[in-house]
Amino acid sequence: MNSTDKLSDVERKVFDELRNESHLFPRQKVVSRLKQEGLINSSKKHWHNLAAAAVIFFVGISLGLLYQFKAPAKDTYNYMLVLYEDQEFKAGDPQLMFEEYSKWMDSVEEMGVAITGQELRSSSLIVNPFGYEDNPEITVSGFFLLQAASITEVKTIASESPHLTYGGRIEIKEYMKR
Amino acid sequence: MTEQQLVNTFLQSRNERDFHKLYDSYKLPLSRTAIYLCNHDLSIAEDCLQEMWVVALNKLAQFEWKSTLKTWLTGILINIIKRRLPRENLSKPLPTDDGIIQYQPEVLQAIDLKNAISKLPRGYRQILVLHDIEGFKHKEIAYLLAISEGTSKSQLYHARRAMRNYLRDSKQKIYE
Repeated sequence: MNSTDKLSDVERKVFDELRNESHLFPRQKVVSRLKQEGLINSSKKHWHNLAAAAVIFFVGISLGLLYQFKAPAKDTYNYMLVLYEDQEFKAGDPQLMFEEYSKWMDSVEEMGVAITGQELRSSSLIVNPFGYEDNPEITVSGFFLLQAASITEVKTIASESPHLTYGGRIEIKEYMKR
Repeated sequence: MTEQQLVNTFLQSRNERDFHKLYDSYKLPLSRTAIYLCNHDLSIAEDCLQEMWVVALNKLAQFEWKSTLKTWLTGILINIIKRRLPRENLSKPLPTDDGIIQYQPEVLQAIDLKNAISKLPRGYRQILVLHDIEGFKHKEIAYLLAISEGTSKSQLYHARRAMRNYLRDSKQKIYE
């Protein structure tokens, strides 16, 4: 065998590109099938139980503390999830996507984390010192605001977002408080 | 969290949340392998992946860690794809080296390479995807495909040459 048995630098570079390409299938379809087969249990019950326990616990202690502490306002969010899309993002059926994102938001609220968000239109215009760029490779497609207990909690929430299953990326930003 | 911890946590709870962690750890390489081996038929690739998880979760408690979990899952996936795709005539001779000096372009686009891979016979495509894209070692490929390490090396040698021949031929067609 001669030297051509090995990949050339050019070939290796392109194989690396292929390795970095990704097409993701919606996770929910696999999960539904596995539930049908009885191979996994829904974690919803688990969260319902936890939420119920948390409600009982907090109602109890809140009664005593109600007049001593001001409860945080629902809109005092402390983290932001910025949703990015690039050419690797493959949008699915809009209705299915809407349902998946709604379901994910419900599950976040079930964890006791306040969440709100806004979808953004796909058109994008970047202003730079030299003019405008109207077709950026990466765009922000939406954001969510969270009132979470810790960055660990936010990371867990972000990692379960359906946005990732479509090949999107999420940036976690913490509010700066002065 | 290590592979074993992920698996043990899932096996103890069998809940959706722990499955998500397991799934997300392997979704990229497994999706890619499925798509290439199903020759970019996304519908078949998705079905095969789904089937792979059904088989894997049925057998997960018996998994003995003789390979990495990724290798084991890939092995299941390959077997499912083999059963699913129409059989190729295995007695059909594979393209042979035509003796011409191997074509190694100075500029190569990902799309051209993808096209060349998609035109390879399944056996060659399989070995090229597993070795050159997914980074499996010959020892692991031997385990995955139930062949010897020597066969794996020799098939890779022929697969790369066939790939270059397709690249050369398609380039020539452009200039004709």
